[in-house]
Amino acid sequence: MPAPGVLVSDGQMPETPHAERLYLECQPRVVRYLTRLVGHADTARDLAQETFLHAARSPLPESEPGQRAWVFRIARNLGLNHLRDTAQHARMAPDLDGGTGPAQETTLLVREALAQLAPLDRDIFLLREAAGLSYAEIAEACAVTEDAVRSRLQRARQALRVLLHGTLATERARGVRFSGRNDE
Amino acid sequence: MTIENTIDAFVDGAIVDTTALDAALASSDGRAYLFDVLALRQTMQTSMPAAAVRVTRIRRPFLRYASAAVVALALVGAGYAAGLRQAPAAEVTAANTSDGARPPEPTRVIELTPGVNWHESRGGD
Repeated sequence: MPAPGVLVSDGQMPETPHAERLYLECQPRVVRYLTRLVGHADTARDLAQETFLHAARSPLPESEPGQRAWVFRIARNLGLNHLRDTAQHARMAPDLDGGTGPAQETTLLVREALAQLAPLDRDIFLLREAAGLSYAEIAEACAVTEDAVRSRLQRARQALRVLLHGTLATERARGVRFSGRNDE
Repeated sequence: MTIENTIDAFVDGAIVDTTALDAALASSDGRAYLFDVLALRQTMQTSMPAAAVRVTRIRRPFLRYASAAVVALALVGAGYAAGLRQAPAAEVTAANTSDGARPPEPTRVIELTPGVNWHESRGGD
């Protein structure tokens, strides 16, 4: 049952000011994070809807960073549950569309590289790079300390540097753009 | 704090000690790490998994009609074969064509008597 004053219209957008603001602010990032986590855009959108339904039905933390971390904690749990339930299928069916060859290849390489990371390292990396959360928000979402976030993030980046060496060299040759917070 | 820690904090929008950042960027390893982290971020943004692959069957009307015709023929053939198996064998009587065959004997013999008027002259009762 939804909490008092929290309604959900047609399973889409929560109808309280806080929940609506949170939805508008976080929904694209939640979908991005879940897409990376489960490797499937349609599934990610379904899980994102479920995430906000769960968030709307539970009392939110008071602070905005706390609310964002709470939403991503729900998203992470739902994503991990989905991965656990469909582990074999996910391994067998990489999700690639009919795009160009190099783009497909890069997507597959990134997916395979991410799959080789330790689960918590991968989650922290994705929460940073795909969702754009701060260290404090990631720590809250994953229930670890900020120091643990820093060290695991660095470990994930170092591993991906090795695993994606060729891809990163190509990307560097094209030119890189600096963006301080990856939350666009 | 290592070079990588400093670069990570810098690219992740955290507060960084400028002296440490200066030292990190002064080393070739630090710069290489910075470029790789930015390239990795760029790669993550440009290589998102796509929507579900929607498998659509190619429509081929000719193949569909040919398949229907083959199925219909197979059904007709199977029905014919089943009918042949289930029908009782017909008894065949061979015609007797030997030379010794004779016509059956008459049951009544009327002899022709000359001079008798066989035509009817009065109304019969």
